[in-house]
Amino acid sequence: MSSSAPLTDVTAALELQGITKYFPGVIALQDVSLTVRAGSVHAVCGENGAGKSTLIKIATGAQNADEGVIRIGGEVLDRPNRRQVQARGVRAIFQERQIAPDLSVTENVLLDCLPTRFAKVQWRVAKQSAAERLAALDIDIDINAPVRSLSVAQLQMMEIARAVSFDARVVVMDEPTASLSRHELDPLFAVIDRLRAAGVAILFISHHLEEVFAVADDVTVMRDGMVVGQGPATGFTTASVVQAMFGRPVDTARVHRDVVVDSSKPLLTVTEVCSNRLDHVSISVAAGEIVAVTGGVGAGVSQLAQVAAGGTSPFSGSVQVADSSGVQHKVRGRRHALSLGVAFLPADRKRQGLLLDKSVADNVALGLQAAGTSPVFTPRSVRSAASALVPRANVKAANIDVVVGTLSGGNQQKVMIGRWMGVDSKVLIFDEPTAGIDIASKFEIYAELRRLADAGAAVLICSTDFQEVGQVADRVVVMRSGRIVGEVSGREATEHQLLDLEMSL
Amino acid sequence: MTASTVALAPSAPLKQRLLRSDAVRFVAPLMIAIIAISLYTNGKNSNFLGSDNIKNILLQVSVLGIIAIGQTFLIAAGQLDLSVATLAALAGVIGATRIKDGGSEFWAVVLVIAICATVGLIWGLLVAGLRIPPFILTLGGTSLFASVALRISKSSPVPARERFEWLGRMKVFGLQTPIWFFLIVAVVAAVVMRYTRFGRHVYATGSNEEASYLTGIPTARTKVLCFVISSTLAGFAGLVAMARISTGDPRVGSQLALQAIAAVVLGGATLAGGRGSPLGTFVGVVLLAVVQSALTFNNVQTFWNDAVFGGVLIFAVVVTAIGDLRRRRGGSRPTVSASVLPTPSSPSPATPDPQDTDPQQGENHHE
Repeated sequence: MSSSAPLTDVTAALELQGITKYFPGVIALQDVSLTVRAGSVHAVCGENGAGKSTLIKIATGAQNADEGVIRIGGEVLDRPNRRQVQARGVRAIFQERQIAPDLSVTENVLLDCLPTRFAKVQWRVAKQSAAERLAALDIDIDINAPVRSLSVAQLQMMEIARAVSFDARVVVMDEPTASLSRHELDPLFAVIDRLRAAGVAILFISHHLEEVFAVADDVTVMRDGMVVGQGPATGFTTASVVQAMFGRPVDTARVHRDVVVDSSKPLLTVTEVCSNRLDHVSISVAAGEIVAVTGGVGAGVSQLAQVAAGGTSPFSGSVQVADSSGVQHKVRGRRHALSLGVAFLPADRKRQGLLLDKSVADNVALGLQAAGTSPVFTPRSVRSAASALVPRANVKAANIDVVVGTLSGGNQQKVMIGRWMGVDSKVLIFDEPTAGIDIASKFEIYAELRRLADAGAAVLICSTDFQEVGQVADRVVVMRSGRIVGEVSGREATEHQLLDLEMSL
Repeated sequence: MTASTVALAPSAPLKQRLLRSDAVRFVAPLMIAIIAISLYTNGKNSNFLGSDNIKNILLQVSVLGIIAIGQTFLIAAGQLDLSVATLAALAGVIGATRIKDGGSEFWAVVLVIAICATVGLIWGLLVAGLRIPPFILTLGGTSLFASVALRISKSSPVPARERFEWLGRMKVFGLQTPIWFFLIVAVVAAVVMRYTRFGRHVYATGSNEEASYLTGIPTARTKVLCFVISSTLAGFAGLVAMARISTGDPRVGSQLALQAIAAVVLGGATLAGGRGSPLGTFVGVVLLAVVQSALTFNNVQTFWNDAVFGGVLIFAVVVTAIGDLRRRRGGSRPTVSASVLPTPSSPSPATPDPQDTDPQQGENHHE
């Protein structure tokens, strides 16, 4: 499967050759070579920890390789820094949004190059130039709109417009689809097509294989810091890429089931809830059941999760949780919900989920710390709880004392899930439980959720990933613009059917 | 959810944990500075390390120390209280006035503590309930308390009739009581912060308030309690300061709030919250006092005092920031021994991305 372009290829916009990067005790990248041709999309696939992030850092000059050669447009760069790489036309769009929410669209698009004369910003020129950039990529955003009012997809387009000015030669996109819902992908792919047609080379990092096959001309598969498969996209199938990524076939069987659950006695009942994003939403989850709520970005799925977990109080309507004797309790706030046995995993792990400056142990023990009642809580108890929970959540970290902020996104997500494995919860509300997680871990998490449900928990999953809800849920509830627009059983839930429900009026 | 325990995740080796602990990262350098300054000054004047001067240093610093320990709770929780200095002055004035008016020591202390705890409660409820930034709120409080203290004392020191000996001047086992109060407060605070659920809630709240709230940590209650603790300790410190000179001075210690914050930061805290320890604060306070005393012993003119105080603070935060930067970057050019190289034919299944591991650490966890 190894077929790299000849080294003297004039069309090679970015060439990495024999890149090796050491970290103390670990080899992050070993002899990685890849070529991104001008006017083509080169996708890099790999599990968490395969070395994709390090590769991007080296390609963009954020880190330097210990061995190997980087060529940009044929020019060899020796241990380049970010500016040198950028000056040669390599632009990157990172997974984490880099946006100034209080500034205008114009300022955000031209963030690094506002036109000035005598230190005074030339607003007229700036607006025109921002509008031109957006128009060149056929992106429809009002440059006068406040950035806070834009959707996630629009923000991403705005970032692309910032990265891609006319002198871009190589654009690196790190998981560009991670925060987009399905029908928001088409505009992104259209922009990618335009760039490709304009002769820009695109390095596309993703672990959504469907998207990889939708856009890529060439594919490189990585595992454990090495290239394990490389060649034209036409030479791969989804199965062969997965096989290469994991070195083994992955069991992707559905984990939902058809056992009828007694839904007359729900554990979690949301009744006629209204908030600024929810419009009379009612939903109930019985013990042993996994219910998924899905919809596009802006459907209110995340808001529903927040309200159901007691994190936000609704304007009207109520959330009730049944105790073991069947008595219903109205939830008054997050901590009250926790005392009723409601675990909550928020979607925004950096802002709402993790203590980024604290260790894995501290983060995993946070659930126990919140749920427990004993006034004494020693460092020793934190560590022993964490030692047991970390392997169960399958967190890959050198040890439990590693600072959580240094872990990859997938491992951070697993730390948050591990937090609730130590707490005896009756109701689990997981908002985007597998965001940024590789396929193999996803199925481990689905299996864990199923185990929890089988043990008598009520599980509510809020997710914009249609594939996911079809795979894990017993029932799927579809939302649009803050209202419930349909419900199907998990067995019948195909991506197409859900998309139809979500789009139809 | 019983654990069918597979494997236990490893801890970092003890040596590494020690090296990364606050005690070593922040306390040890301060200790070294204290020892170095002491030895240098003692070389010039051997009275510096005499027991009289050591006791004197601790006595001078006890009021500041008690306030700084209270501030440690707040700063670790991501909060701040600028009003503690004038609150302490107000506490002293109220206490002395009660005695002047013929009240008993006991009820004077109870009254002052109750007032200060209430002030803390009000700050906490306003900050937690209305989400007012504590900086501005307590800045307002600073002026308010200063004015009230001047009004009650009619702008002049209030004599306390040589009372409150047990609070400020009595000796127990050779040490004056303010030193004992400082030591006891520091030890109790250290235990509370390290070994109680409340202490861990404080760090969690300071580290990421929203995440803590959504997990179910009682962040509002935690913040309120921190304000109550800090204000109460400030009031107590004010009484101690009054008892030492047997006078309620409305203008006493206007710099105490900033010095307390400086000591907490010297001890390893960041104003962003989530870090800081009573032990660090204790050592930070002692360093400030040792520097002060050393300046006197070395006959440095007094106008340099503030400059040295500022210089020490700036130096400490710059050194800390450099340390953090190095930690974030990890080792730059490491040497890799051949034994950890996976052979190309059979890659080790658990050779994680360096992002998944700690750059300081070579031992990987296999599951």
